[in-house]
Order: sequence, then structure tokens, then C-alpha cells
Amino acid sequence: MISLMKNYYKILDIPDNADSSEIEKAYTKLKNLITKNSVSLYSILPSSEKETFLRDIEEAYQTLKIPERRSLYDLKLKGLADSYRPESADQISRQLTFEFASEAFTFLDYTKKNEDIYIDAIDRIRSDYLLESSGPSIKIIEGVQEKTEDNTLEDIDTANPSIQTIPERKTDAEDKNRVGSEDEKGLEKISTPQEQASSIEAIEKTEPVVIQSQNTGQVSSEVPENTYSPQTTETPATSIQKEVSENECKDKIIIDENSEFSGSFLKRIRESMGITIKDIARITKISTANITNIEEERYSDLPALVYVKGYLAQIAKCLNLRSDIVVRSYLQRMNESTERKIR
Amino acid sequence: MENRKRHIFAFGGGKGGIGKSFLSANIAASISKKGYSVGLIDLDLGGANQHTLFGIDRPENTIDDFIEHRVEDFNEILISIPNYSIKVAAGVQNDLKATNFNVGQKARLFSAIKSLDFDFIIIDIGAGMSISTLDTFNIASNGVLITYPEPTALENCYKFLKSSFLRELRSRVKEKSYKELVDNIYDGKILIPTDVKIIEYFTSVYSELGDIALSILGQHNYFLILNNAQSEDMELLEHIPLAIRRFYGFNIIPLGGVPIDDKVRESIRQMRPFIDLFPERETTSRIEQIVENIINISKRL
Repeated sequence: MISLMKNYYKILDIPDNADSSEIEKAYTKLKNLITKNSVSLYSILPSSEKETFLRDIEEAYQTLKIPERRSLYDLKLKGLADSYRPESADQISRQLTFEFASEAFTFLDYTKKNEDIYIDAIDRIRSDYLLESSGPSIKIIEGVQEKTEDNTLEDIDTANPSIQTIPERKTDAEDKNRVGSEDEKGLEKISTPQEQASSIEAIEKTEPVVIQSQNTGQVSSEVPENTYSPQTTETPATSIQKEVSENECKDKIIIDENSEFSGSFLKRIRESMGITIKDIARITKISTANITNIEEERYSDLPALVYVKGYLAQIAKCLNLRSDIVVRSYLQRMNESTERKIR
Repeated sequence: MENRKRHIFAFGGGKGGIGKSFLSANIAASISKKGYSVGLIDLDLGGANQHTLFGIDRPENTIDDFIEHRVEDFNEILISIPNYSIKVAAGVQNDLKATNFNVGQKARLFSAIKSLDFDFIIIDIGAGMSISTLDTFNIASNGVLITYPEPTALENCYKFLKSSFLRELRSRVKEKSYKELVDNIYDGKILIPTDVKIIEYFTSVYSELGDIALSILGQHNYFLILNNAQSEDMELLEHIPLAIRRFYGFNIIPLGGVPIDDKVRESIRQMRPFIDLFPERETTSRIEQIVENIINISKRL
């Protein structure tokens, strides 16, 4: 499995279910091995890599020794681990782009910046994820938008530019595509070439940006004015602004860690929030056909897995759901169904 | 003789002059003193002298005679050592011919060794990393790596371990693309990043190749003896296996360390096992400790 997310268990060479004493022991042993400058590492670990290795084991230990951090890390790790085996170099590079984007930060990045923010972030992600939405109040924002004040994650975003709630960002391909973001006037004139097949959106902090369509030209032609509307920063999730009042929501939907995010469940959540497929298509630039395919679970009509992963992550963001959980749950269901078919 | 299990141990380590022959001879002697029968096979191609270490200056027949079909039964080249339950297969004396066997010769030799009737078969393989040396190391299910606490010896030791493993993997795969991948790693054309274990690397590229790699590790036990070790070097017995496990993914069992002893030379000159000439020396007790470990582990295998 190609993943840019560091596997702390592998770094410390311990099983996934190692207890705290095993973690402690493995860490101490490896640290001793490196810091004692043991001759045993000669030709195994070049001295130029020793520092990196030390940093890695330190990072692994700092994350795994604290149960809260560890369980959060485990969730993230699993979200990536369940996916597939890449078949071609092209596929690998596309996946790398995606995973680099979504995993461009580590939890230590949080801690380095600010321990409190980090803890808040965990709480927030937890409550998001365990959200019991009897009548979800979803903010749907149109066009330019200011920062919401109670949004801790945004604070982190500002503190750490590598953290974004959007999975795709900062890739080479993107940089090439981010045309004249500093030129506000020019924005109106630029028509986005839809040649880029990967799901990429350009985000630039405090600067107006061009949000580009990711798969087909179909969506942007439906709502062309929105495609170029300058936005301050944020994610698709927060860029929908519409208060959904409580009585608009008829069903009570319980979302917890055991929820299975099937297509129909996603649809129910979406409908309960009063968001239409077109809303999502406009924000995410995913074609309505593909959103429908996802909701109807027409797996055979869906594009390559990397795209589906990206779509799911973005749809999840729009619905204020934890994207990693949604992606994992949906893909698991999808795998099971394809396996059943093969049998 | 009832249902006896043969335990084959190959002593290697890549570097020359690190005491492979000396240690295998003395370990063989010590095992034999515990009441086990030992076959000591000298496959140090080009530098064979196990017979000399036991006081035999001109062996009647050698492995060379078996290879050249002058002797058909391997048992006939074995030389009994007086006072020990050891039989030695003396190494090839003709240096020029010896360095590489052809495939047929190798197969015949290895199957003869494997069917010898001893409790323990100890193979002293030579220095270097020629194909024959690596193959010889791989016929034993127990590979003992011998090294000095020095960077040069360790470098050779790691490389030897890796090469012998790759060689075994190469011989077991059939598919062309797998062979190419293994060859490229072997030749250093593909570098496995430091933080990726060899096994994991194969698994991530071709899961089937990873399975074969794992099965090889399942069929081999690797051991470590640190020779020429002073007391401050003893922590290497922990560090080396840890480093190999963490960066290669192999499990290495440390058998023990043997200290520097100026009496070693004397025992070699007298052409008698050190453990008998100098039973009071620390080197002897360390070797006996190693033998105890070998016997205990063999009981569990």
C-alpha cells in the first residue's frame, strides 16, 4: 500500500495492538541503538539518515504513548489502509497526489504549533463525527465568506498552512492550473480548461482563487458564474451558506461510529440538510451524474477508485461529515459488493 | 538412530579471517563432547583447512574426489577424528578448480550432505559472496553469521545476509518479472529505501513475491556469533539483531560472544581444538555457552 502517511507502528516495529509497555520498550531500544552510535548500524543506516530516523521514532512515540492521540491516529491510518493495490505507475502517482493532499500534515504538526489548538481540534473532530443531528444546522455559504468564529479547525488552518479541510491541494498539477490567482480582475475572463482529469481544487489563503472543475465540463457550464466566484479561503463544506431550520428536517438521523455510510444513507443525510445534488455539484464540481451514481451505488458506472475516493471525501465535507470515515465505510461496502459479484 | 532429526548449521559471514573455521571446529568438538555425533563439512572453497585444525595433515580423500566422481559415496570421504564423535569431510585442495561448482555438481553434493546421518551437521563455508558460497549457506536451515565488532566485518555480514536471502529468493521464483526485480536489487540497480524492510518491499511490489520471501524466512533460522569481542562489545549482541530486524525484517538469534584470546594461535599451531587445550580460558566457556544455546534451540526446532 503506497501511503505517505507515516506508519508509527512500523517505525517502532511493533504490532498494531501493542500495549503501552511494548511501545515504551521498543522506543527506548531503538533510541538507544541510534543515540549510542552503535557500530551495528554501519552500512544499514547511513549516518545522514540517523537524524530523520530519530525524529520519526520520537514522533511515533509521542503520538502512540497518549491514548487519545493514538486512537485518533489509528482512525486516520485505517482510513487509508483499507484501500486498494495500485496497478500502474500512473495510478500510483494519482493516488500519491490525493494522499499527499489529504495527509500532508501529521498530528505532530498540530502539537508543534499549539498543544491547546490540537486538543480542541480533536474535540471538534470528535463531536463532528459523533454528531447526533436531530436537526442539523448547516451553514451554507454562497460566494465570499468570512470566517466563522467558533470554528477551531479554521484557527488551526491559519496556524498551520499545511492543514486544510480540503483533501486535494498543493500538487504540481495544481500549481500549473492555478492561473493568475493574484489578478482579481483577470479571474472573470479566465475560462477554465477542463483538461485536468484529476480532482483538484486550487485554494489560496486570503487570495481569491479559481476553483476548477475536476472531471467534466458539464458542471461548470451549468453554473458558470459560480465557478469563478472569488472566495476567501474555505472549504466546500463551509462555502455553502443556508440555515436549515429544525422543522425542515423531518427524520431524525443518528450518526455514530458504527454508521454505515451507504449511498442511501448519504442521500438521507443530504436531504435532511436540505441540500440538493445540484448544490453539491456546484460546490464540489463533481458531476450530478456521478453524485447520483454514488448515492444509488451504481458502482460499475463510477470512475476509477481514486476519483471515487476524492468525490466521497468532498461530498462528506459538504455534509459536515468526517471524510475519512465516510470514504472508508463506503469503499468497504463497495468492495464487499464487488466481491460478492465475483463469487 | 530412531527418527533422528539432522540439524544443519552453516557458518558464514562474508568476511575472511573472522574465525569461521576456528569457531566451527571448536563448536563441533564441544557438541561432540556432549554426546552427539557431528559431521563437519569443509566447504571453505579455496581455503579449506578443517582437517588441519584436527591434526590431519594430508586427507586421503576430499570433497573434490566426490565432485569428480572418483568417489561415489560421500560417506567414503569422511575422516573420523580420534577421541571425538566427529567425522570431517575435508575441503577441496585444488584451489583453481574449486571456486565454482556447476549446477549438477552442486545438486549432487548438497543432496549428499543433507542425507548424512549425524545429529548435527556443521558446514564451514568460505569467505566472500560467490554464488556457490551463498548457495552453500542456504542449504542449511540454520545459518550462523559470524562477525567481528568492526564496521568492515559488519558491512560484509549484512551484505552476506541480504545476498544469501536474495539468492535463495531468486532460485525459488519462476516468473520473469520477479526474477528481474530480485536481480536488480541484487545488483544494486534498485535500492530499497532504508525505512522499508526487504520483506515489506517485496510484498508491496508483488504480493506473491512477498509470500515466497516470507516462506524462506519461515524455513530458515538465523543466528549470530560475535567473535573477537571485548566486554564492551557485548551489547552488539543485542544491537545487531535489533538493527537487522528493524531495517531488514529478519529475526536473528544471538548465540553469544567470544573474546579475543592470544592462546587461539597456539591451539591452531598445535592442531588441536582450543576447548581441549585450554579448558580454563574464558573463550572455552563462551564457546560452551554457545553450544548449549545451539543444543537447546535445536531441541525446540
